[in-house]
Amino acid sequence: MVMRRLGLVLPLLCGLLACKEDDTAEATASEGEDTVATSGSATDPEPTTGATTPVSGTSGDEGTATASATDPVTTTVSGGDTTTDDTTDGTTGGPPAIEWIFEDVFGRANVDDDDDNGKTDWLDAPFDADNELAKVVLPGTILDALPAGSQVRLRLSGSGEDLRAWIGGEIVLGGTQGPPLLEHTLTPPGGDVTLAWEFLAHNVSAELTITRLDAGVEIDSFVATLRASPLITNHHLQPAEQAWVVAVNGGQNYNNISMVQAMQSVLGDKLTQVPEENYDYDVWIQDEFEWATARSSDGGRMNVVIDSIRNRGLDDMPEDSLVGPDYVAQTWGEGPKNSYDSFGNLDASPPVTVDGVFYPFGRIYYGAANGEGINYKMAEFLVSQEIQRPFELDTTWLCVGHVDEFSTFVPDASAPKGFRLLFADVPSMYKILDALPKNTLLPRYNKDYGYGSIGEITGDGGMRAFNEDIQTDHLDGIRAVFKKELGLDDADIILIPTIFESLNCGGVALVPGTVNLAMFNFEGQPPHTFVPDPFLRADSGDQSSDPIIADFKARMPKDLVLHFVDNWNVYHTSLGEVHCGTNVQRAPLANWWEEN
Amino acid sequence: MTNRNHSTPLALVVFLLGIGCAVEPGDEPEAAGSRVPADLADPAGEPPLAEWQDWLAVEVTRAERERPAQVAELRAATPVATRAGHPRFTTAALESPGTAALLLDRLSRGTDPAPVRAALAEALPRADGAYGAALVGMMAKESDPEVRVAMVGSLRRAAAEPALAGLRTALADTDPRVRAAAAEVAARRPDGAALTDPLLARLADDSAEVVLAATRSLGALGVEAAFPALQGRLKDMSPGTAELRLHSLRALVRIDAARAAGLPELTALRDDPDPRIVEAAARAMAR
Repeated sequence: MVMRRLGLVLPLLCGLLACKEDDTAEATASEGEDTVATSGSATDPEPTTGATTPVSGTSGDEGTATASATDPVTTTVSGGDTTTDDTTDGTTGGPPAIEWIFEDVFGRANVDDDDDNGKTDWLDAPFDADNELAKVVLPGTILDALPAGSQVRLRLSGSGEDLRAWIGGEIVLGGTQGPPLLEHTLTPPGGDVTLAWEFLAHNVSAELTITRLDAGVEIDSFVATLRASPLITNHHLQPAEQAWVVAVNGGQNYNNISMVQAMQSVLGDKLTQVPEENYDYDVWIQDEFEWATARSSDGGRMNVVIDSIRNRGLDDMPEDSLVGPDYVAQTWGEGPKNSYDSFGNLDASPPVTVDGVFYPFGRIYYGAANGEGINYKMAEFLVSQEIQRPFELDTTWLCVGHVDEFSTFVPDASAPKGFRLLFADVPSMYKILDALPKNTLLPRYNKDYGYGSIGEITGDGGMRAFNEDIQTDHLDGIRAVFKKELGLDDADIILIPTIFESLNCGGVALVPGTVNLAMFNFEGQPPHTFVPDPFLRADSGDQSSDPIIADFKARMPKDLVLHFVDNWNVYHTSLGEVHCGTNVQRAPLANWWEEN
Repeated sequence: MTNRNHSTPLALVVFLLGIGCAVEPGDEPEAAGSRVPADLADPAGEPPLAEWQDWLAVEVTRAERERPAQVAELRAATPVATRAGHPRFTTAALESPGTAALLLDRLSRGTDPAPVRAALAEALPRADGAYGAALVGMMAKESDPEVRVAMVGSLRRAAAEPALAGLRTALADTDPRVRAAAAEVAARRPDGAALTDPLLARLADDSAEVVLAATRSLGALGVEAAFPALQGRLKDMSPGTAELRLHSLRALVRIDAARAAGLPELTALRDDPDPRIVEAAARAMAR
């Protein structure tokens, strides 16, 4: 899908060697896949692979000599029966021919501000620290072998507005302040010619036709792909790199001290505590931004903080502490905002194969239905990135309306696909509740919800009916969508007992939603999983007596390290849980330009 | 108490009368004790419905005299934003004794914007002290329907006498959102069956939202008397009635699954254009 090479092998000195065009074209088609002539690299401006020179350069598809990366002018026989003619001797004599092949360019958008001058680097001329330019070398080994008077024409497809090429500090192709430049012809100056490609936006692409001209006549042509990395969001199988939580200390009964301490003891300096007072006591850090990456084949990585239009207290946090060289905050969407625009309502599955199509980065999903949902510009952008083809789930029945209220993914080495989908389920919760002694006291629920005992919950006929309808009308259908869109079957899904309270704005978890968890799977550590303590017990201090905790442990993959943390006062009663209050940056795993 | 005491000015204004009357003539709260099962009545320190203003004045005066700091703090308290963005007073802010009366006092002043008034109403069940009678009294004067909806929500946990009286009033509110909320809350109370008659009346409401809420609640409460009316809804194939057919069927099953399984209307519902109804009919017949 991504990697595309058009191997038109045409002998450089075809005219001199009296070869036939149709013969050379065939040779190209058969050998091009394995014979890449040049490489573009921001970190390695020199060609790493030399020209491949047909030994005979004549009529067949055999007898090519491939130059090694370390010795670009060495010729070796790679073919079998070599046809010779009166101008060559097969392996030793005669002028070499060249495979007119160049490497595709897989770069990344130049949207950060490496020189910290307050402008995105696209608006600057290239400078030393600007590491987002993909440098492509037209090797002198090829150019210098061209007959005198030869030229190379570079022609750009499309509008040319979203990318551009620099040679020696000048834009020669693509977007400028004026009309885009779509064609540039150069006369070989002697030695390499380096084009520095720059992309304006994520996942923009174009084709570059590189044509060799001899006295104005087209001799040879190659089409290379130029593409900026799509912006790729993270899934829970990627190793965590850094985690964030807003530290809250509003007094004895309104703080997340124990939760943060539990995380800190495991994560150490991999957990960043954000002072609540700096951000208007906004604790919902999951909702404010979403980490993503754009990577280039030269190893470069742009870290993108997708900054929600939510714009509550934490709005300035990305700019304050996350943005810098190779780190940029970008926003898609405008106009009226609502809870669906928060990024608890945006997530990605692990890699899946669906109807024969492999999604190496998983698929994005978010809440949207019936004209409501995540801002359409954000959705359009995510769709435009193609590689994680998004799908929608109906979250409009929830008060908050986020996908993390009923679903998440956890790694599971023993699972057929390497992961499990945790999915909210009402009947399994009532099965637990109905089996418990009705007189079990529930001190945590009494004050905030008016349920002093298990029996008061199970005896609430209105709530039971409400939950039965949620299961039938929403959860069953959403689970079916997950299965269809991700190619899952029942074995891939773990049902998580869940019960919803009915508020005027919609449903919200009554028992803290254990599916709404934080997955901190750092490299070199076991997958630490922080789960809201359900507190469905008489003794709040005794987790071992909690039937929901016992049930959750029994359902989970055994290699997860579970930590049940108190998120009741700060998060749960304000309609969120642990996941909503944390954020995680993750390491990319796969190379998008290598995946089909 | 959380440290959310930002710069909310304390406007010392007297109780605002006549903010707006949301109750139609003749819908005033019923007299104390009427239709309330004796075993469900729980005074919980509640004053008689008609005396809530005097009661509140006494409570507030006492708090101002005995706990002036608490009074000032609560009057200036700022709610936090829930994940959905709605203002909410944290439970930690409500832990001092007698906070319900102080919330009511602030609510009665009417100086907070509507979302904060709704948050004040929502916080009442989590606060210490009685609140039902005063809340019902204020509900009749509250002009904003969203605030009245929040008030109705808090009646789920109020003492029986004011709660049932308030819900009867709310079921006759001018705004359908309030009527629907009241219908839903009725099914959340253990004494909700005491509201059978007004709930049945709401089956003829001109708001589909209210009819649906009443239908669901009558089903959840298992009100046998609703069976004929709900059965009649199953035959209504007029445009836009699928939701009503679906919830009527569900309510019938909840009231009496065996009786519902034998309804002749189920046969036709197996061919209903709405697949949810087809599935619900199949389930009902399989019971």
